Amino acid sequence: MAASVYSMLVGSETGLLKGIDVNRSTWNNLNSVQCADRSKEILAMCWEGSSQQNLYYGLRNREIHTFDFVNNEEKIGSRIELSGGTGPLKGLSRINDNYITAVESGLVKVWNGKYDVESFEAGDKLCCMVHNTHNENLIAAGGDENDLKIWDLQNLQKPIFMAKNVRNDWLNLRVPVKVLGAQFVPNSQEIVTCTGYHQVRLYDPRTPQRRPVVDMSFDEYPLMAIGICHTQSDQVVVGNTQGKTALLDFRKGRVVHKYKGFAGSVRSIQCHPTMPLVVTCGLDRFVRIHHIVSRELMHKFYLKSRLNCLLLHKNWKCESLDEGIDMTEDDGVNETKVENETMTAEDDLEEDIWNQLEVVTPRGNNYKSKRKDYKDKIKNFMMRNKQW
Amino acid sequence: MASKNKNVVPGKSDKNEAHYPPKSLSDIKNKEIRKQLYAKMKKEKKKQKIAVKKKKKAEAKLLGDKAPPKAVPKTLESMRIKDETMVNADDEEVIKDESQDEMSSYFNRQSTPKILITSDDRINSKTRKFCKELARIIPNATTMKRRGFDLKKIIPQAVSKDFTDLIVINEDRKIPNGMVVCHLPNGPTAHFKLTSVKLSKEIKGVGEWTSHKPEVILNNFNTRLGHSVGRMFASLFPYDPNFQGRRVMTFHNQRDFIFFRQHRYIFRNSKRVGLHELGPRFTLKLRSLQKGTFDSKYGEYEWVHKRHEMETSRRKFHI
Repeated sequence: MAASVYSMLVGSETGLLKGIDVNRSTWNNLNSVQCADRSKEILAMCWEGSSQQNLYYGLRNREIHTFDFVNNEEKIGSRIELSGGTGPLKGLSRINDNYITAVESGLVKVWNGKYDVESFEAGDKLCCMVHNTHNENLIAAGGDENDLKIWDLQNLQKPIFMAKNVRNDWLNLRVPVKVLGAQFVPNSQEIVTCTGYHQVRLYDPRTPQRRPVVDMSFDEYPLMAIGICHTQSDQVVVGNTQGKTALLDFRKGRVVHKYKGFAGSVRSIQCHPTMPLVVTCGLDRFVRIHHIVSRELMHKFYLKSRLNCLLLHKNWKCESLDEGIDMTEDDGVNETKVENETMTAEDDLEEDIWNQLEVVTPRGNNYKSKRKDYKDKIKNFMMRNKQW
Repeated sequence: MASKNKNVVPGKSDKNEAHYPPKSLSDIKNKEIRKQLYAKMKKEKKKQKIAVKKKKKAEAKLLGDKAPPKAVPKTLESMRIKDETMVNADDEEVIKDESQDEMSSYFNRQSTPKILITSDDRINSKTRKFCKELARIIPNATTMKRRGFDLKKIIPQAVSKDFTDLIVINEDRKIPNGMVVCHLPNGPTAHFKLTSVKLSKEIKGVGEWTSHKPEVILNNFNTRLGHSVGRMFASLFPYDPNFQGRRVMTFHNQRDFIFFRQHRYIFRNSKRVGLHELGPRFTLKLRSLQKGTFDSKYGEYEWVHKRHEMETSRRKFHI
């Protein structure tokens, strides 16, 4: 079994599927250039489960193709055509050997390539459909004047969550709705969306509140893509139609920093699951890899066509970044060391008390955030001690 | 006063000082003398330069064919930072991409250009004249008063009347300063800064032009972005020029500035060409290229010029 070398796959407007090998700084077209055609523009892509052996990609002419990632070739026999609804494909995913597809007219259906298993209407002018990879029964969709809804595939009578528009603005005018992108927050039920009116919103279906829990805005152009940071909890990367891309923090409710180097609209953003890297692609025909924290542009690839969608492969381990990661880890270690020095024997007692206390699980259930909370508590306690 | 005595070295007599010439011209305090000396120095330098040049020329003449080749001057352009988006003529992917883009119907000769020229609301005489002149030099173009209509309302109207391009001239302080070229019906839209506009009347010895369909020269549109912009310009003019008219439009890109000139040419013999400028002249600089028809708020941009991010090097060019 020849393992594939590609770190990520990119779908382009010309219908070409491109594989990038980041460590060797090379890329290839995975299908032949002869068949490049705008009617075959790649609109959506998804992996087959967590094994990531097969890649499915949906085209503008409503065909869904399968790419065998093990043998690095397209499975021509398994091309299927999507029927029902009108308009281009807006979302594609896989569940238990079935496809989940969404088209612009609002038809979302679960089907095995021939017959429909389930289908439902998600409202017209659909702009995005996302599938929760952690809780596979959840599907979210939204669009133009069609606010976010979440469905449970086991109970499709009505959505389990329907977002409510925010209150009227300061002129008492209705705020228009246009959901352009959505992402489920991993290991939680929350969902973040980006809108055509430059808002970023966090919804929490666990609460009775149907309005967004956090509502932020970034710049003044439509936000085309959103990507969840896996390495930092409560942070997302968003990109707009002018190529302005920034890291936003939900707890602070503001921009952490912006990324540089973009020339055109951002169409897709993906963050690496373990490394602090964010990958973006868009209309300026470049794929760019930035370091999330240091903002440094690590790599860029000119792929010759306008790019629509992006998927990372789980095998991608970035050698050139190892140093960078070590540095960040070192920083963490240094901090703890400094704190250890300041903690004297009297603190040991306090530590015992703290150890006996139950640890409050923070949002995101992340180890780092837990540790940070714990550190903060100790700091606060010491500050108070000094005042005494 | 301490500041005045700065230049006086203590312990040195006046006699001694007279022997030493000042270190540099700027040390001389008398402005008149400084001026004279500077002029003298300049003159001498020039003389030396000419002498060196003459000597080199004489040497080259002596050596004949064996003379070393003329050194190519170092310019910002020749030292341009390598651009990875530079298009290879035989790049199959780019050819495929371009053969299906929004301008392809013009290049496949399925559509003939029909251009609508309009302007800002409330323009002054110079902009009005410029619009009229544009409509004269571009075949099959008509001008229309803006009359306060939104571009987003004009565009569907223009599409229904089979216009293939919309040109909008913007004005500021009575001088034309911006140009939007919007290809219809599906875009793209390019926004240019417009400078150095000279109408034909303002150019000395300008010739009269004929109504022949002009030839178009596009110089140095070599990157992928340049290709897109060049194709937009090309699709403004009829595909089949009347070579009989010997009328030629030039869009010359140099350091991302696009210079427009119009000439009539004549081949005097096999080596010499005569040019007669017909005017007008103007200079464009690309600000953004947007996908789709004009929509500055909700449209998606393919390329936006970001001054502080992109202008980090004087040797980096985009077109």
